[in-house]
Amino acid sequence: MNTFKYIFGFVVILILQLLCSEFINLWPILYIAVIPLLVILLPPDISTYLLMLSGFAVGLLTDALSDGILGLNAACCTLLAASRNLITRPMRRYDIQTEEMDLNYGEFRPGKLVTLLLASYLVFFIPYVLIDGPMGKGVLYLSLRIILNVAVNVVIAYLLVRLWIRRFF
Amino acid sequence: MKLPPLIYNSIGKFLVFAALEAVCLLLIVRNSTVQSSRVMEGVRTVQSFFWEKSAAIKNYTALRGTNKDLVEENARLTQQNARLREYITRIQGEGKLDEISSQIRGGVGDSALTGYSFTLAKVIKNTLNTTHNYLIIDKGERDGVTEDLGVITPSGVVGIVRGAGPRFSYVMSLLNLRQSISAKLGRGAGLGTLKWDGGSIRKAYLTEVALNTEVQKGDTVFTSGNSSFFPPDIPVGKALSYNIEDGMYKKVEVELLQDFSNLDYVIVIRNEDKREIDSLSAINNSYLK
Repeated sequence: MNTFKYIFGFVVILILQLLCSEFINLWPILYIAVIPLLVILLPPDISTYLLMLSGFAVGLLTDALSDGILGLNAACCTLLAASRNLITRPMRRYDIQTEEMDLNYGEFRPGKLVTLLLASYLVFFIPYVLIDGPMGKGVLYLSLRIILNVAVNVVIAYLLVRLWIRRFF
Repeated sequence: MKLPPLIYNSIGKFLVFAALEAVCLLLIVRNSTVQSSRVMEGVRTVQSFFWEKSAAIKNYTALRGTNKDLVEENARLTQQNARLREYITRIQGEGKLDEISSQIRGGVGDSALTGYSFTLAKVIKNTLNTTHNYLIIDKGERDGVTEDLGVITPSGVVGIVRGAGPRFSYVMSLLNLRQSISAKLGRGAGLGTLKWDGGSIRKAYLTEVALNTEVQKGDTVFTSGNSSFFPPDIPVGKALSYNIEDGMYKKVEVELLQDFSNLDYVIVIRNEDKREIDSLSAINNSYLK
């Protein structure tokens, strides 16, 4: 049942991402990315190998089905998947019943959720902007673009998680 | 020694991550020109860093040879100096010193190198094992090195700069089948084209030499000065033998003076009049179109 739930979530987030890529072109320098949410919200106990492969697959599918640079989303999602455990390690709590470190996104307070999203989107957007940015642009331009993309996407991701995804996952 | 499972696991994760990222990078490079050039720029920066370091190590280990060359050069200059002193003493005794000095000042003895500027560069990479050899030198556009400049050493001609980046330049070696330079046999006639045939790195061929040119073993081959790359009369090699090609020209086998396997530093030559010469040559080319 859980597997079906995640496959369904995978498809929904992918479609949402394709719709964003196709119709929400707010600004040439702003990219609305929903797919990092899939990498972030996959079960905490999933192996890093599977996480990286899922990130790679969802990123590559997005690249292939949208009008972007093939491999760009895949590279960033794989990096995010590889570093997810590192990001979430300080957020885990000790579960007395299972006697293991547990991570439950549903119990996250707003501050903790924003921190998680902020760290994840930074990991996603730093390589994204560096690879995607036009040639000859300075550090200031790249930094502003990273900050803008992270800020806007964290707000959107926070709303999505609070309003819909948290209930689903 | 057995490694703990945690380390095996970490290595495994890193390898999978590296493989996936490599696939992504490959896709990006193949599908986007801008990203491709950016990645290649990064690769070249890393490459040149390693070349620079390996060249520094090679130069350090070759210091004994460099020192030997310097001692030989020093001995040759000392000998030349002694000869000149002897010559000056002799003409002073004959009372001709003032006359010759005024002749030199008047331009009779002007150096063939007037109108050229020189930049010393370190060789970072030097290939010898292909038929299209090249060098990378540590001077680029920031140092005034641009495309189409000649490269020499005190021993002879090395090649021509065919591409210049901000910090490094690509030199097409004389040991490259696509390279040819205008040269002459002796200081007089005997013009021809010096080309490498892809064989020994110590031999090249002076082709298209007129049949009436006398060739003797040991004759020095110099740059002709007919191109804007090199000044005239830079020694390139010594004639070894010749044969007649198609009954029309002589093809002279030349032993190169430059030992390409031992290149540490080179001199980039800029012909200050090159732009003017090239623009005049372009007029002729426009008539040919």
